[in-house]
Amino acid sequence: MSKSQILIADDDESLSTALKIRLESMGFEVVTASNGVQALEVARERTPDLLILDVNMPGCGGFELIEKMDGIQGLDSIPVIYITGEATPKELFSTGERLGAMAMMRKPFETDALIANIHLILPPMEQAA
Amino acid sequence: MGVDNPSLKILIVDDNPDDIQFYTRVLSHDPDAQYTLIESEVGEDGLRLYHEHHPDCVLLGFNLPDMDGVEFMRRLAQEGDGSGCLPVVMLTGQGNEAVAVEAMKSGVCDYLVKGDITPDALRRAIRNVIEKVSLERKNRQLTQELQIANDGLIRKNKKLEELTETAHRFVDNVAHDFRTPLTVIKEFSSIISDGLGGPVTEEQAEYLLFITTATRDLAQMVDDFLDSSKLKARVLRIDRKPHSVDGVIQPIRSMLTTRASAKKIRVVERIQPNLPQVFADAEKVARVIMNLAVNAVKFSPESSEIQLWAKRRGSGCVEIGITDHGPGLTEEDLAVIFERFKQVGDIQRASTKGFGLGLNIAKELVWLNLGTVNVQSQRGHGSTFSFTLPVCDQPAIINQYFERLDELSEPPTHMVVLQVTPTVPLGDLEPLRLFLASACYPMDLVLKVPHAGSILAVGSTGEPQQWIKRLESAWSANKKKRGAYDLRIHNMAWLPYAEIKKTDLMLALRHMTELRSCA
Repeated sequence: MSKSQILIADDDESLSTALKIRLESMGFEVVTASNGVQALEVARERTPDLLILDVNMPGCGGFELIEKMDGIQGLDSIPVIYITGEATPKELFSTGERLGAMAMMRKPFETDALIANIHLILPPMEQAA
Repeated sequence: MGVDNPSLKILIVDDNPDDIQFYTRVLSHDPDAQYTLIESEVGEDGLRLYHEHHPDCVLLGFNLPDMDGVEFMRRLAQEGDGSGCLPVVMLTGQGNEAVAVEAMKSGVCDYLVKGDITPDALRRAIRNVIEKVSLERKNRQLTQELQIANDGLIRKNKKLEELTETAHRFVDNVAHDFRTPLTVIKEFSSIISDGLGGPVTEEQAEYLLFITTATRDLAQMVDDFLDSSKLKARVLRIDRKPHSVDGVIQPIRSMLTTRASAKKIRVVERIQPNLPQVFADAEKVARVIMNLAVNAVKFSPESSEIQLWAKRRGSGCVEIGITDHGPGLTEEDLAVIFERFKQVGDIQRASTKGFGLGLNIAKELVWLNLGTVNVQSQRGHGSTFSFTLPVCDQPAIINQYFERLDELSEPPTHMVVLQVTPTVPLGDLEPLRLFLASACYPMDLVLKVPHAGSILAVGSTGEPQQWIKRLESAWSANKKKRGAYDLRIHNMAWLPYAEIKKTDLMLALRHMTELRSCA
């Protein structure tokens, strides 16, 4: 069985690198992008199984990206986990919920909590590589 | 007024030589004033002289060879600076009241009827005119100054609003800028300690745990610091709604245990069964509990026990507290413990960290949740920090709301009570409530009134219209995101703070509900 693919988009590359190392160690295939526009290109090319998106990225953030993907066959149904460093995430969280977010996570999040959320979408047994 | 003037300039516009002679004689014999007389027999020339000499007063005959007095006044007003009252005494022929009325309408200050004029009347008319015009000029100048000052205030006010907005944004940006690097540090330490970068010795794993703990502390301090600056700038948003006590504690339960276990401290929960729901911002209350607990852990001896308890207090409140077996506090400590940046005692300083903001923030956050903080402590006998929250019941909430407002050193001057109704009936008012909570200030009260299909918003403002406008423009700016309906904002009451009563709010609530059931 082929590995599940996760696309991580965050403008802080050290964070996406950290998440990539962690998730690859768990058997996922991980691609990264540093903004929404780049993420859209990668998503069209690879059709990942899960998106982990930073809400705020220069040019095109997570919410804008999802709005762009709306109506694109194959892309508009990919589950999304948002991560954000915002201080007052309540409003963001309700926007995220409206856009169908599987989870909203505030930085700094617990790694275990992120993994638990990923496992809700991509159950661990499928990753037995 | 004219008396102080060394020489008053009088322009005489009249074509009757007898009248001119009379005016000249009267004025030159005035014991109280000196006059410089300028004369003209035709209107056109008179207008020219007026602009050339700027006389203090004009004596204007009604019938001039080239125009009548009304036409003269019209031209004068047209060519003038538009400053209203002109220093003109109109002199009309006898038995012509209609002309007099017309003359007054055309902007002359006074009129006299030729033939009846006594020297005194003429002098008095001139003085009155001069005084009237001078007063009017002063009045206009003052109005202008007032207008300028007012414009300045409006500008400053706008600037202040912008500054607050900037402060808000700045604080949020700082938060964002701190949180991502913190996440990176945390992630990489856990990647290394999990051996994903190669084998790790036991010693290295222990060191990495320090990094992780310190990063968590730092994250907490960033939150404290941000809350503190926001509290100071009055831009912290508060989102009170019904919660169960367990629902408030649940999200921090594991974090609490982890923090306590670092000192082998046990957290024991004593939550009274069947507690009513509380009306609070759960996230903020969780931060208060966390701050109190972290404080308790900090000062507790290793392998001791801290208690997290909650119980009913009176009919309107629930009390939540943390009890430790630490060194306890002296009375002097108790007096200052909630101040900003203050940590108590010299001995303890070595083992404490943080900004010393934790308790201050806890107190402020409790206040914003309409509760009060209590401390009970005795040197050598541990400490109990506790706080109240209103139960989720309209009278209890309103009661606590007013008690908190009464505690302010500067209570609001006015309170406004708004009923906010969506133009489309909503099954769920929650998104609208959330919008209002985020658009309002921390000490405004936002209450869902489901039976009325609308929301009650109570705020302190001397300017209800401005508040309503602000809400409306915030709504329309976000309308697309929130749904295709508008808001009907009804100003139910606007009262000085000293006059508004709890019963006013209860009445407003009842009124809202009844109105709906009638409809």
